[in-house]
Amino acid sequence: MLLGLDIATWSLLIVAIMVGLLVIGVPLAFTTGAIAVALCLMLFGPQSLFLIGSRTFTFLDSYTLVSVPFFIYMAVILEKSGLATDLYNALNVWAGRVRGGLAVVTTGVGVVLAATVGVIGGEIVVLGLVALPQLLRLGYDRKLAIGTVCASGSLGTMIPPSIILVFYGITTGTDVADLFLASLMPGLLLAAIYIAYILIRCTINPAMGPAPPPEQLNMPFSQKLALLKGVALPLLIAFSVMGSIYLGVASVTESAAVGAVAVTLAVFLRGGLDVSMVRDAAWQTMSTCGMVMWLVLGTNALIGVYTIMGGIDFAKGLLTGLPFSPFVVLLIMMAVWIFLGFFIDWIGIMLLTMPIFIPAAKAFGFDLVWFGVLFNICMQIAYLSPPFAPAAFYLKGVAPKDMTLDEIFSAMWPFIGLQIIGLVLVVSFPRIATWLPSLN
Amino acid sequence: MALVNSAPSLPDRIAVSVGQSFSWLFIVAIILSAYEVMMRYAFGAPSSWALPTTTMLCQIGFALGGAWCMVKGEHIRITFVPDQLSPGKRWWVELIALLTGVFYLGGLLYAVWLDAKASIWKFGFDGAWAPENTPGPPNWPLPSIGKAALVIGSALFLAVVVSHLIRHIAQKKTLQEQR
Repeated sequence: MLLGLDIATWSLLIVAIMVGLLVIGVPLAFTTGAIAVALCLMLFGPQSLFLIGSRTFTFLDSYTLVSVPFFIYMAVILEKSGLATDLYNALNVWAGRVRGGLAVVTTGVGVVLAATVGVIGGEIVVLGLVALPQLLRLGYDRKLAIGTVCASGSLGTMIPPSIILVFYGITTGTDVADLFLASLMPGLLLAAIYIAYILIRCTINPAMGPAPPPEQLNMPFSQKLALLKGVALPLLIAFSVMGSIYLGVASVTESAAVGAVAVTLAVFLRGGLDVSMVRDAAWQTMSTCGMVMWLVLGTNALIGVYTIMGGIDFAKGLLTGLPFSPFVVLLIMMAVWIFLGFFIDWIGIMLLTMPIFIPAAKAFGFDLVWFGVLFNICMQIAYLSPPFAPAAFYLKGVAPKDMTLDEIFSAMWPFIGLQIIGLVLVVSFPRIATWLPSLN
Repeated sequence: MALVNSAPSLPDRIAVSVGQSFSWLFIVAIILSAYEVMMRYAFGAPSSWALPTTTMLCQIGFALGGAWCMVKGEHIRITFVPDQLSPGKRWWVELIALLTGVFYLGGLLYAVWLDAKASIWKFGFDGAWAPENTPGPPNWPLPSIGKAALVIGSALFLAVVVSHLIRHIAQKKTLQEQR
C-alpha cells in the first residue's frame, strides 16, 4: 500500500519535505496541505481526495469553533475602545510608595484584561501604549518595564478565555470549559511570580522602580475611589464570560457571544462606539480567522492521510517505546514545545505536535486537561522567546522609536526564567491546575 | 513579499470585497447566539435553528477568509531564509511557494467539490431535489450551504494564488531587464 516503503521512511520523508519547504518560506498552510494532497494522489488515487474534503468540512462543522471569531471580536473592540485605558488609570493611582508599585499594577491590569480577552496581541499593544510610557517616565529600569509589559500582556491566553485552549480542546476532544477552569490558577500563579520578582528586584535596587511623583501620591482618597469606576466595566465583561461558564449556564461559544455583546454594550455606555469600530472589528475577525482556519485545514488534511498510512500508530509506538519513564517523555515533549516556540507560532506547534503527542499522553495515562495547561504555559514561553517572539513584535509596533528589537529581546530572558519556574510548579503539583475543574 | 509592487489583480479585488462584505456574517452570528442565550435562559424558549445556523454563518466566513489573507500577505511563513537571499534566488523560492499553493488548493478544490457534490446533488425517491439537511431539526439544508461555501472559498483562494503566480512569472522579465 505504501509503494514498498515502510512508515518510518515515509515519516522521515514527510518531515524532511515539510522542514525544507517551511525553511524556504512556503506558507505553513500550503506546506502541510500540499503534502497531504501529494500523499493522497500517490498512495490512494485521486478519488481518495474525498477524504480531505470531508475532513475539512467536518472540522469546520463545530459549534465550539464558533467561539474563536467571537473571542477575536471581543479583543479587537476592547483594544480599540478606551476601556483598557480607564482600567489602567483607575488602578495606577493605588501604586503608592511601594518600590516597583507601578510595575505591580501593570501586572494586575494584565490579569484583569486577560480575563476579558482570549487572544495574544491586543493586550500587549494596550499595555505598550498606556503602561510602558508611564513606567519609562517614572524612570523604571527599561528592561524590567519591557519584560513586565510583555509577560503580563501575554497572560491573555493563559487566563481564560483562551483560543489556545479552544483549539486544544477541539484537537484533543477535551472539554473546553474544564480547560478554562484548569488554566485559571496557573495563570494567577504566573502573575504572582512576576509580581514577586518585580518586588524583589526593586527592594534590592530601589532605583529600578521609583515611586510616583507627589501630586499623584497626594491625590485625595475620594478622587481615587471615583476613578475606580473604570474597573467596573472590564470586571463585568470578565464575569459575563467566566461566570456563565463556571456556573454551567452557557457553553463556551454562548458565553463568548455574551462576552462579545457585553463588550459592545460597555463601549456604547462609555461613549465612543460607532459603526466604523464594529466594521474594523468584523474585518479583523474575518482576516484572523482566515489565517488560523486555513492553517488548520492544511494540517488537518495531512493528519487524516498520515493516520490512514498508519503514521499515528507508528509515532505513538515510537514515543511510548522510548527507554524512559513517562515523566521523562513528558519533559521531552515540553522541551520540544519550548524549542519550537523559538521559531514558530503556537498554532503551528499545536497542529504539528498534538496528533503525535496526544495518543502517547493517553497511553501514559496523563490527565489531558493538565497536559493542555502545561502546553499553554509552554506557549507563554513561546510568546517571549526570540527570534520568533510574538510579544516582542506586538510591543515593537507601539514602543518608543529608540527601543530596538534587540533591547526588547534581551528584556525577555528573566521573565522566561520565571515562566519556567511556574511550569515546574504545575508539573510538580498538578493540583494547581486540576483543582478548580474537580470542584465542578 | 512580492519582489516588485504592482496593482492588485482581479481575483485580489474580488477576494478583498468578498472578505470585507462577508465579515459582517460574524456580527450576525454574535447577535444570533446572544439572542438564543437570552431566549433560552431568560425566557425558556430555546430554538432548534440558532445553533446550526450560527455554525453555518461562521463556516462561510472561515471559507472565504483564506483568499483575503493571501491578498494581505497574512498567511504564516518563516521568512528568515528568503530574506537573506539575493533577489534572483528569492524569485525562485517564491515561485516554489506559489506552485505549492496552486498544487494544494487545486487538490483541495477537487476534494471539497467531491464532498459538496455528494451533499448537494441529492434527489429524493420522487426525483425531487433533496440536498443534505441538518441531522435533526430544523431540517434545513445548512450543511449543503456550508460545503458550497467551502468550494467557493477554495476556488477564490486558488484564483488569487494563480493570479499571483502569473504576476510573479511576468516579474522575472522585469528583474532581468533591471540587471
